Amino acid sequence: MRTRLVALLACTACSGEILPSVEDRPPPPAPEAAVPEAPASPPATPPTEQPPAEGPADACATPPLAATTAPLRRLSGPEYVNTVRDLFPAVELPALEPVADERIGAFRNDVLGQTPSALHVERYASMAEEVARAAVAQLGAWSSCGPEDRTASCAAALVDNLAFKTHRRPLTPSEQSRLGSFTEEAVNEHGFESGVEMAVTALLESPFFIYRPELGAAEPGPAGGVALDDYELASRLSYLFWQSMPDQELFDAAASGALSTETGLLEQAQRLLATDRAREVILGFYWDWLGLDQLDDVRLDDERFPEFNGAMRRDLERSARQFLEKAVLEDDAYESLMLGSFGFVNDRTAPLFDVEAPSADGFSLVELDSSRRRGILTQPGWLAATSHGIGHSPIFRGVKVLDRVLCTPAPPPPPEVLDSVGDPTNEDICTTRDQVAFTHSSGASCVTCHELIDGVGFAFEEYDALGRWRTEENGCTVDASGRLPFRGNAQLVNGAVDVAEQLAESEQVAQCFASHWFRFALGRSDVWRDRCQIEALGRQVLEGEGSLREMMLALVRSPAFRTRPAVE
Amino acid sequence: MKFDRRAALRMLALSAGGGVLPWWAPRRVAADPGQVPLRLLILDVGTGVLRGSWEPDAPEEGPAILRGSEWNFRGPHSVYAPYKSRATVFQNLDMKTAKEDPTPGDNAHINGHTHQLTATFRPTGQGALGGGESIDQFIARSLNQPRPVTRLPSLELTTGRSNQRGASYAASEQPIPFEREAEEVWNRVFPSDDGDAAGLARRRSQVSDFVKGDYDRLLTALGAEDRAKIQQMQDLRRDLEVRRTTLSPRANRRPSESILEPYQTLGRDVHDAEHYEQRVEVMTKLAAAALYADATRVVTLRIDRPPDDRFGYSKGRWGTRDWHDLDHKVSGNNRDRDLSDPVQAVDLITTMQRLYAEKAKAALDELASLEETDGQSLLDHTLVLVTSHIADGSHDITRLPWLVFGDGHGAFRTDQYLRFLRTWKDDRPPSFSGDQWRSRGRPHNDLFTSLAQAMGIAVDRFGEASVATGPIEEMRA
Repeated sequence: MRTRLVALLACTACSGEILPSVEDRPPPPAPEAAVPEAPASPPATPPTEQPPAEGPADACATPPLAATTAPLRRLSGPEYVNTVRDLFPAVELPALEPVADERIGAFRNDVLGQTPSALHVERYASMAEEVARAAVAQLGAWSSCGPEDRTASCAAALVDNLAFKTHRRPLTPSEQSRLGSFTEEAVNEHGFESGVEMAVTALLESPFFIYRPELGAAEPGPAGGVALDDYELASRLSYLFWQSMPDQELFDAAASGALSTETGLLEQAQRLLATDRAREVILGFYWDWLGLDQLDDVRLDDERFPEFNGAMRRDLERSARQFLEKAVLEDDAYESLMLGSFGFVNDRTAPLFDVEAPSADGFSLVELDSSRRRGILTQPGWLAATSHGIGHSPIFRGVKVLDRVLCTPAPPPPPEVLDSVGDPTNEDICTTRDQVAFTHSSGASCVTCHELIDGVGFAFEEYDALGRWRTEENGCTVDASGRLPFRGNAQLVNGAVDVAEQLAESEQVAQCFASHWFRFALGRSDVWRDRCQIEALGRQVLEGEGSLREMMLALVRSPAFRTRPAVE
Repeated sequence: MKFDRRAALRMLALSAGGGVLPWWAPRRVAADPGQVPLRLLILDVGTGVLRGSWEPDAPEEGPAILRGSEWNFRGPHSVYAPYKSRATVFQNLDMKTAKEDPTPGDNAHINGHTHQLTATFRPTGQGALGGGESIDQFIARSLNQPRPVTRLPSLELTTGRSNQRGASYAASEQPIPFEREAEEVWNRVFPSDDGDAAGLARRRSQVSDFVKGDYDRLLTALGAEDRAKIQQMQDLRRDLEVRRTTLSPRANRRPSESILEPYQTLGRDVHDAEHYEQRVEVMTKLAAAALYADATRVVTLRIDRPPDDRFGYSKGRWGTRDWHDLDHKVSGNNRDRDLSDPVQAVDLITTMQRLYAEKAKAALDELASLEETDGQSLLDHTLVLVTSHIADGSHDITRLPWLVFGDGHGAFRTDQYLRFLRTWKDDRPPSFSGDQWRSRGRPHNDLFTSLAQAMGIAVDRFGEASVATGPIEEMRA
């Protein structure tokens, strides 16, 4: 809400008006029409909070003890598929295609993007039936009921074991009884296979599987909230780091009560973090946060960029991915992510980095000239992801940095575009910067916003559409001067390396990074009252060795991760 | 003999001994044997049509309504000529809510998308999502109350990318996902029953009852906000159960599964540019098949843009970055300055728009090819709205190049070019410039009101109440 308010006010400056003028305003609302009542929609916008007008200067000295909010989350598409695979690891399952979740900000696991539709419900039902059918067809792979023991009671026991996993917690006695009766009746009426298939279908269609209810421990918790119970914490850990259900060791830790202690919780978090599955999830975070998924959509003119083909696209993706693997997973250092002067090159991408092609096949780690390459934002993969058509886009680069790195998204453009722009002489325009600067300075509705956007984007002018370093464009010297609009303290910069160095030291950037992790981990946008926890996480990456792993563990330790507000 | 709706209403009024019923009086929409229901097909075909290229030839000063030989299709719309007698075309139909929305859209395209079918303001502080139920969902829901009449309330299909949000909304901030995989659509529209329909229905019912118990128990443990989510899922599940157990598409209307062949043989490659025509054809056939089999009565089909090579464009041509940039420059004020060959550039864009229109026309052809039980075609029993999220490449959302085909079972008079009054702020003449934002045409809310009423739904106005003025009387038969 705050961001949108800023955007709205900024757009005032852009277009000169927010609301229609007096003479344009619509007539008073007509009487209510007799429209059939629309379906009630659950509120999709999180509670908005405005910063208090006055408050203690050190409000974060005593941060909140409980989470500000913990909306009910549904399994995302990848979480659903991964969980089903982990439920039946030895079963060959059909390809599952959950309905794609809406992207909210950088991620697709936000509760705001999880409103259900008729298609969702049908797809859940059909996937449940498909999985159940496949599981029953391969009963020997997972069932303890041998051919001689295809009885209702054996089916009930089998399903009871499975239910623990689909619910991700022990069932209550009444739940067990109810499920057992259902299974036995189904087997008695329809036969063993059909009965088991019905029970498996029911478990997969249950809201206790599709959703992740977090009701909290029975005992009252910190002021204003309740502590999550061990099984709920187990699910939080596994879905954060694996995008799937807990494994048996994690369930065992939950059963012993270990996850209610910080020590036990961190021990399991560290264990999960050390796995290959976590590597993929963590890399996925960075991929989405930095917008690298847009590399897949880049389309460049064949004549200007003949080297950009499917193979080059894949190489740029691999190069960026390997950079992240090293910086995030091996170096485990925020500094490496923001300032690392290294790259992964093969013979195809070496010219983009302006280095010799490696002698070995595949990708090799090379040290790069730190006056030209520092951090992920100077990697060709990131730079190319913002290109389109006939070249690079300082506007897209500026928008991306403002939105994802500074958390100060650019206001939306005014409705009309390129209305009256003056006619440049040929001498005026040589580089892309010249063209963009001229266009945006000519239109009254463009200037204010594009000073913000272009000020950032121009700092990357030393890299072309594929991220190649250059000092000239069209025979003219490249000008990479720019401006970083830090809150309360805008900084002039000269070139992307300067940008990287400024961003790496910035508390605002560190907090923006932390806020994205916060959103990714909790599946919701942060609200004003989360700021203390986010600021603490941001300080984590700037202080000491700047360990990214330690920041993630700090997130796991935080009240936002371990508690929920009391249910009203 | 074609069902004469107006005659029936007169008879009803006489028999009741009462006064004349309003023309939109609700009528039964569940098809009696022999009564062919009215359907709705919405074709979403991209970024509009170049201003000045499609408007039917007509004198500047002249009647507000042109009929028959008084008007004709022009430019990219010429492809619709075979269906002129069924057509209603508009001058000065505006997406007025998009202009007056106090919350800015995240960009001009999102501004259009979020108003295109909702005709209502976005929620405060929300620049990316629509603010209400879209007209297709409204009609689908209304048709299926108080009880479902078709197995699927509606169907939303796309030939484009999966990450592109469509214009349909179930409610505020609740976009409807569009389907792009033909086989999955087929399985929804024509589900197989493995030969034991009764047994399957029984088992599903038992499973559903059990699952309902889980939903009921969970509801008691949640807070208000979360309860609403679960309640919504329950409602959708209940609806699905009713549909699955009580309604089936007409088995004798099921086409050959061979229409899915491109998707089956090409796999994910079917979404590549080179297979554009194939996937558009398949999705169009599926849309028609779903309507024909009465699996649903409301389909929204989003057709993506013809690839560059289909209309002869390549990036960088005439100083443009990509087709989007070309479309902008062709539609803008400074075409002659911004393009090295504006004449050819305009020709290219209109060629693209013509190709687009041909896809919409192909949908009409498909409907026309399917014979109904009364000897007429499916097209005779379908209202078709050809729409776009902006009017042309300048992002203007006034003077929309939209069309309606069909008379709505006698509700509409067709073969008309309706010219709504436009008023200009400060008496400025029309141009491509910002003046379009100062002008007043007929809000598209009113078109939706007319469509809903033709579909038999009692509604005075649709969408944002401060903008909607009522049905378009000029469309009435």
